[in-house]
This record gives sequence, C-alpha cells and structure tokens, in this order.
Amino acid sequence: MADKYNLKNPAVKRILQELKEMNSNPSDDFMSLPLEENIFEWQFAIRGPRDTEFEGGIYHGRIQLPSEYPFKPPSFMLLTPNGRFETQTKICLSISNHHPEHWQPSWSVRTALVALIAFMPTNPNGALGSLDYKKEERRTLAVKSREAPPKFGTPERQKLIDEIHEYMVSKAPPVPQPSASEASEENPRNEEAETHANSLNPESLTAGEVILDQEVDGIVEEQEEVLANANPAGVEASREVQPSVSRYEVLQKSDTRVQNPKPETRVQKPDDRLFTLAAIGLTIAIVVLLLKKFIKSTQHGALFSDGS
Amino acid sequence: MASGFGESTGRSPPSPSYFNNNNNSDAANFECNICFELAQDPIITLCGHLFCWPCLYKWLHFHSQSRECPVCKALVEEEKLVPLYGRGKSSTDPRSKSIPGVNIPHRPAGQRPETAPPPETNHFHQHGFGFMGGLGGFVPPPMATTRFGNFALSAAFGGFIPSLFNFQMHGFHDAAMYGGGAGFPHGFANTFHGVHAHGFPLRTHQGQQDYYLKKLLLFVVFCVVLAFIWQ
Repeated sequence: MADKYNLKNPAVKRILQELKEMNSNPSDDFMSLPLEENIFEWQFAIRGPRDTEFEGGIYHGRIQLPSEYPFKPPSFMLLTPNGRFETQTKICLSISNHHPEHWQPSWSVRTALVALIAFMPTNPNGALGSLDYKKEERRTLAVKSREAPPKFGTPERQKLIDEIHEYMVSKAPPVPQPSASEASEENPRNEEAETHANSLNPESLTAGEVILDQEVDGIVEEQEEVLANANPAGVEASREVQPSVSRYEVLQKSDTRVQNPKPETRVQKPDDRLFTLAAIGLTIAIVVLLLKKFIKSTQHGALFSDGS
Repeated sequence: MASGFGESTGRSPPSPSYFNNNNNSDAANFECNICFELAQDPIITLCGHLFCWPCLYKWLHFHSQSRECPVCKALVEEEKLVPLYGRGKSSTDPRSKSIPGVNIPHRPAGQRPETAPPPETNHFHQHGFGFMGGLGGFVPPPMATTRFGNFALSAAFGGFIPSLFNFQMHGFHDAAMYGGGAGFPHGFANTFHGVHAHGFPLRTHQGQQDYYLKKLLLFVVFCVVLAFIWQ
C-alpha cells in the first residue's frame, strides 16, 4: 500500500505517521480513517462528551486535509445531525481552515477530534456553521444518531462510515435516561424499546457498567498518550471536556504553563561559591588591617611612657 | 464485528521496519513536532520544543504570521535557537528542494559561551597560607612589620577585584547602581550574554540569598573604607 502514495511528499509522510499512531493507540472517544484512494480525506466519528446532553451520541463527519498540511489547517464537516453544528457544511473553528492564523502545525487529526468533542457543549456565539438547539432536542438527536450511520458519498465512503459506526457503537455506552420529566423520558424509552427489547434487563445494565469502566481506562490512557507527545493543548483539551471551557481558555492555560520553566540551580552554585570565598577573603583582610592598627596604637602608648 | 476489525487492520499501510512498536515510544522523544519524523537537523526553541530545521524554517518564513512556536505560540527569535549536534553526519536534506526556487539556509549556529575559567581552589589555598605566614610575623622588629603591612594592603586590593566581578554576575540587573562596573567592560558583557543565553530566571530563594550577600559585601566595603580612614 505504501507504493500507492508519494512518500517524498512531506504532507503524505506526516499523514501516514498520524495514521500509524492512531492505529497503534486507538481511543474509545473517536475513530478516524482515511479513504484508500485519497489519503487527504478522512472519515471520523466522535462520541458525545459525557455529563452533557450529547452523551451517548455518535456523530460522523469528514475531514479534508490541504496539500500543504501540516502548515495549513484542515476543514471539518459534520454528517450526523447533532444540534450544535450544521450538517453538510464546513464548520468554523479555531482549528479549521476558517482561521488559518490560529492553526498550529503540531496539531493533528487526533487533537482536532479531541477539540471537537470539547467544543460540543460550548456556546456557539453565532459562529459560522453552528446551531443552538435545546437540550431535549439534542438528546433526541443523540439517541437517533446511534440507530444508523448517515448516508454520504460513494459506496467506498459509505463502507468506511459503516465500519466506523460499528466500532463506535461497541465502544460508547447508550444515551443515559433523563429523570427530570416523564414527558422527555417517554420518548427515549419508546425509541429504545423499539430498537433494543432487552435494554431494561439486569444483564444489559451490567454490560453498560463494564463499558463505563473501559471508557474510564481509555480516557486515562489518552491523557498519558497526550502527555507523552508533549502537546500541552491536547492535554488541556482532553482534561477539561466541560461545558464552560472554551478553546481559547485551553490555549491560554497551555501558554501559561509552558512559559514558566523551572530555573536551573546547578549553574549558579559555582558563582555562589566564588562569591562566598571572595567575601571571606575580604573579611580576613579587614581583620588583619584592624589588628595592625591596634599594634600601632599600643606602640604609641609605650613611647609616651618612655618620654615621661 | 471481527471481519470489520480485520478490514481496519488490513487498511493501515505497512510501516517501515525500523519503526517497530518497541522503539516507537523512545523515538517519539526525538521526533519533530511538525513532521512527526525523527528530527533532521534538530533545533530547539527557547521554550524547549524540538523541530527539524527545514520544517521550522518553512513555518516561520512562509506560513506563520507572527513568528510563533508551532506548539505553544511563544515568540521565536532565530538568533536564540539552539541546534543539537549528535553523532550523525550532517546530510543534505532533500526536503529543502521541495519548494521550487527556495533554498533553506544552514541551521543557526550554537551560541557557545566562553571557556570555563580554570579552578581557583589552589590559588585560594595559597592566599590563606600567605595570611597564616603573615600572622606568624607579629613578634619581629619594625622592618618586618612594615613588610607585613604592605602585604596586607596588597591582599585587600586583590580580594576586592574578584568580589566586584562576582557581584556583577549575581546582581547584573542592579549594575547601574555601581559605577565600578564600567571598569570591567569585557566581564560585564560576558555576564549579560550568559544570563540571557541560559534564560534561567532567579528564584525567590536565590534572590533572597543574593540580597543577604549584597548586604554582607556592602558591610565589608564599609569596614575597609573605615580602616583606611583610621590609618
């Protein structure tokens, strides 16, 4: 397969490197694969962030990498209705090609997907390609997103989308049941009953708990991976997938951390030692001068007594 | 599901043999933050991020609008980049030809500080031995006393100059307060350059210690001046 790609192209080499890393360290939060015929187009699916109205949802999308990648940012398009980003439209993010001035060459598809998960519960503020549905509508869309993957593009793309969807369904737990009001409860229950007759069985609940444990482990591993890659932005993004955190705050924290390096103490020790020795030497010299002065004073007294 | 995983595995391209899983975690520590390959012509920014020189050059000169670090957005100044010299030979990078009509210049050279001064332990010991001999000469006649006085005076001056030099190294940010600094232009320049090249900010504890040392030095200078006036 390597013969199919131009290995002299730095963008292709970089993309193959990312693909190798993602295959060796898979995540439970997202999955992404490139087309065989065009390595610059990737299909991805992300899991809705937990403790939000998107939890349990599986959202598909497409990433298009530019020919100057990683020096130019990619473009992102969501395919599954989600209530936060429009579908079939390139979305405006600080990591997308709408803002090439904010792009960092050290970011990758992995960090972009982590950031996308973190952006889901944020306030859109009228950004291009954003939507602001209500929580109930988003939860309904999350339940619907698990039933079937979206239809998009050629049969090869559809095959890739189906494969990714199958992987994500096996990894992500189902949408949690809201207990706020019965009206919102009934709709998810009915829909779940239609698709999964055994959803209320104890065995099913036990399996769900097991999946939850696996997710926790996956997230821990993910953070370690990000730390190993020395990518502060990634670390912040993966740690704080919370509704109130925005991308810019994440970057500011990263900057603050990086700009406070530990000072080196070894280099200063020799200087301190030399300085101390010089001070001691000077003190001894002063003591000697004072003693000499004292001796002269004593001799003067002796001379006076001789005169008398 | 098994067949799906099989397809996923088969779809990934074969990786080079030298990049097996065992070495991957170790090699990642020396991979460029832009091309994710083992760094060629490695160079490090002041914020500590490692890049290939061609990758960083392309980013700074053709893509970045504010000359920022590709990882943390810190300001990158080319005269403050530090190259890494390993055991490998410097080879011509074929990627420098990927941009038509553009030649990537050579990596910035390392800023080598001056050679470390020779150890002064022996000199200090000899100095102390001289003092001991001087102290032993209290009893001798006046002629010997006069010689002793000259020796002490010379020792005082000798001790004063190194103290000034070392003091500047610590408190270079207060150099304006001491006009004597102008007397050592070479030393001052070296100290200034050294401090900035290393980029080690002084800690609170270090600042406190420096403060005490400054107080001690001022007290010693005051005593010396008092002794001269008294004499």
